[in-house]
Amino acid sequence: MLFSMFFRIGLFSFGGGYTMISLLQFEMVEAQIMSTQQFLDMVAISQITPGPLAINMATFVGFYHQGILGALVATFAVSLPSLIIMITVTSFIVKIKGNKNIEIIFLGLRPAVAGLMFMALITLAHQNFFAHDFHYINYKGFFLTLASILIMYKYKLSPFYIIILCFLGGVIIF
Amino acid sequence: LKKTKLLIQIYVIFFKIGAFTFGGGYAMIPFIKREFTEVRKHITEEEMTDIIVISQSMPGAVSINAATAIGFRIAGVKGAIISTIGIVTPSLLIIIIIASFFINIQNNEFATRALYGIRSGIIAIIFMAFIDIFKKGVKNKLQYFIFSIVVIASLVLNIFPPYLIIFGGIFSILAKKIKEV
Repeated sequence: MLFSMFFRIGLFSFGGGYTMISLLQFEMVEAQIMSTQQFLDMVAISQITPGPLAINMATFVGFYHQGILGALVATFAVSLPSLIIMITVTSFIVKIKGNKNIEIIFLGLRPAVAGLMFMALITLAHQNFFAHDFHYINYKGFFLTLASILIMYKYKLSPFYIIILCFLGGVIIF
Repeated sequence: LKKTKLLIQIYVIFFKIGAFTFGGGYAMIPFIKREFTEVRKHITEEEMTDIIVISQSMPGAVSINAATAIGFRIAGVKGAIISTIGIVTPSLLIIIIIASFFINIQNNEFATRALYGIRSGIIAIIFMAFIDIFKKGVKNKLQYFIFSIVVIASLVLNIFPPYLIIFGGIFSILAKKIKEV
């Protein structure tokens, strides 16, 4: 199950790690394997540790569910499509470059990926800021998110530092 | 023997890249470029540009794609496998250590507060990533249409995401063909 899930995710995450967040969110949170909180923590840890985001997330989820073997299986599964596709594509590099049809397909893939990202964002934000029935609103969290967006927009700060800042912010205000 | 040496060299370079680059695939590209086109001259600048463009457009992690392509160019299928293993080894080690630690601290009060803060930061980071992907990928009417369909379809019907990605690609090419006819 872990293998096929991560193989699928590796195969369809056009645009790298951030796209993977939306696919993983669907497979983990919607299927109630992980809670939204656990999911966000997992993304955060994958972000502040060195290495590709996609690999870090795969390793984390794999380890969380089936220990070291799970980590190895998930990482292998998520890299396998890359290996197969890139070896094939690199061998035929010239043919792909001039191919108009492939370019047109990509023009359609990108907005679909953006749409999925949008949905993942909305779902995660909703679950982080509101309790199930809107009885409780997480104002402090909302404030931190807003502040982070402004800081990233204005100072082009990398995600790594944003997490460190929010770590400190969280300890102070919550 | 020379080949084994080359493979070890490739492994070490990608291990280093995996261990020392924070911020995911895009942050690695400058390092990869420097190591293989400037320091070792295994690959020409032009080839490198092609590899990077293709790595970004193919599915999968950008860094894994680039590592596979470079490894393959230098030392065939073995090179591709070795470079991928090289780049994932540090992640495996570091994440396993942190994740096992993380499972124990989840109930700690201090950690809980810090995690509350971090979750809000992650939402902001995903928001910025979305804005970036939206700006690059949604420009004309057709693309706005695909974007809206995907959002509505996943909102109302809860469709499995890969199907929606495939839909985007097929729709784009159909729209083009219809225009031509």
